[in-house]
Amino acid sequence: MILNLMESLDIKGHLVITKVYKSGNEEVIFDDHNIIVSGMGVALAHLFALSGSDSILDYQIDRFQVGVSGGTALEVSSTNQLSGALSSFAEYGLDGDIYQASAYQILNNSIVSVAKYYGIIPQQNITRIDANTVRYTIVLDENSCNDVSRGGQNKPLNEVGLFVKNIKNNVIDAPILVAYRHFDDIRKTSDFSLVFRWSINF
Amino acid sequence: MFVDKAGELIADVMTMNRSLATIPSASAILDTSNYTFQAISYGKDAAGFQYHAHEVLSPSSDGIIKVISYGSNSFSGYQSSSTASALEFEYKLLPQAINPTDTRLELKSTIPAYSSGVIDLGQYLNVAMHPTLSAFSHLIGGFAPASGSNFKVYNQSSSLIFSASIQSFYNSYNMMDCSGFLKFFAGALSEHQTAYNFNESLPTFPFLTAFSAGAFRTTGSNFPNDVDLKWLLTLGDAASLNLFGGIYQIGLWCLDIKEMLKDGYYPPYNFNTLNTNRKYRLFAKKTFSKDLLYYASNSAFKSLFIDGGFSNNNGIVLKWKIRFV
Repeated sequence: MILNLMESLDIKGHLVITKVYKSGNEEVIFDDHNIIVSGMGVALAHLFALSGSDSILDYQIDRFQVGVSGGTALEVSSTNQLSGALSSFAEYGLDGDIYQASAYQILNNSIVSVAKYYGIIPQQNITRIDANTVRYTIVLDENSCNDVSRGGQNKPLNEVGLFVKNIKNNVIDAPILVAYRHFDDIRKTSDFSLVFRWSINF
Repeated sequence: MFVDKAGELIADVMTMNRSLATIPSASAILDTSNYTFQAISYGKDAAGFQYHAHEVLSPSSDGIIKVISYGSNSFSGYQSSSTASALEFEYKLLPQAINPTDTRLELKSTIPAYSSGVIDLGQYLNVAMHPTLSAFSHLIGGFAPASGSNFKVYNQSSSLIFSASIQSFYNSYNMMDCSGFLKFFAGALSEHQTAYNFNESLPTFPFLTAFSAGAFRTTGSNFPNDVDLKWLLTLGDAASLNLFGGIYQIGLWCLDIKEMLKDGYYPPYNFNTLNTNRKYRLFAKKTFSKDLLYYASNSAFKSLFIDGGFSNNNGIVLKWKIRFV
């Protein structure tokens, strides 16, 4: 007997991106589905085989990356990393409210021992919507992720990904990408916060 | 099919509060083993709990599994399908259609014809391990006691056409609780791997010893794409299930941590045959349109009962592949 968990459960997600201005005005600039990538299956396989970490906290989606080189070509299940993830604490913003972490990353089921930079999703921003749905709220506040540049050129944000913490129980966390979405360019400035409301239905 | 409860379990994992890790008395709740596959169960159509070996209630205290064969008089065994075809106006053999919202194998009542004290769990029970119902395991089913059980097959004229005895492998090794949940081996992944990789085709393969610990899970060569599950149904247990109507459903279960915590049960959730501290949550189920134990050949069918179904090198190995990627 063979049962395909990802197809049968039909795990899917939905992402809403909102600009929130200092005045309190909000503007929804993105509202669409996302791509659950193969890393989700890899993470769940480790969980149910008891093949990785012995703490379920290591199987939780607890962090994210934003990037500047996204594209529709990456919206496929085989995507395992952002194309142009922010690459330093400074790019995420040293004066911002994002709790940051550097860690390795799992690519093709192997840990790549190169430091990557992540924003941590606070526990209070992880909400159970219903029995099978969890909403992750990511806030890039006014002092975070502003004016990112590459090669002297200002680069707008246009991709975001969710990561599971550390399925292989590595000494240094080695997260794995589980959901990805490219969106239209957003030049993040101190004029507004950017709020990602990301719901995953398991 | 994976049921909605599987997604609910994953959502539980994703939202478990991180602060529990800092509380020594509560940190065991976060142990991954509490959230993986923990049990297998067998089922059949709900109506079938009124037929097959459930049907002949008298005498009720003889301890003998009794069944009427509605098939050919020359047939030296029992086929559940012949019962259904003989009683087609009142009894169809098919289980209910599978539905993602299912929380058990069969939604309708599975209380058997002998109903006193029996709990409706939607699947085969194993009352041979029950403290008060064990004396009626020959009526309630679905497995023989460890010490064995005699059975008799009658034709429609009440003439005896076949009799023998069977033993339960599951009950001999305390692998299945009285609610009908077959446990998974509680060892480390490497031990699962070793046991899983035994070549069961070898004539000297120590079948019973290897599988007496429970079902196995493995991260074979195609991991993490697949996780493979494997367990044994010896001919004795297969024969018993055959007499009680066969196998039309198999359930894969995890623990229902939230329910257990709500009821005041805290880790560790050790397995015991009385099922005193575990509650299960259905994760996936497989439904068959034909009895998994159906044999077309009379002689093959009779082999279920050789040596009480306890022969060292005879059994049905079931493999279930869960594809994740």
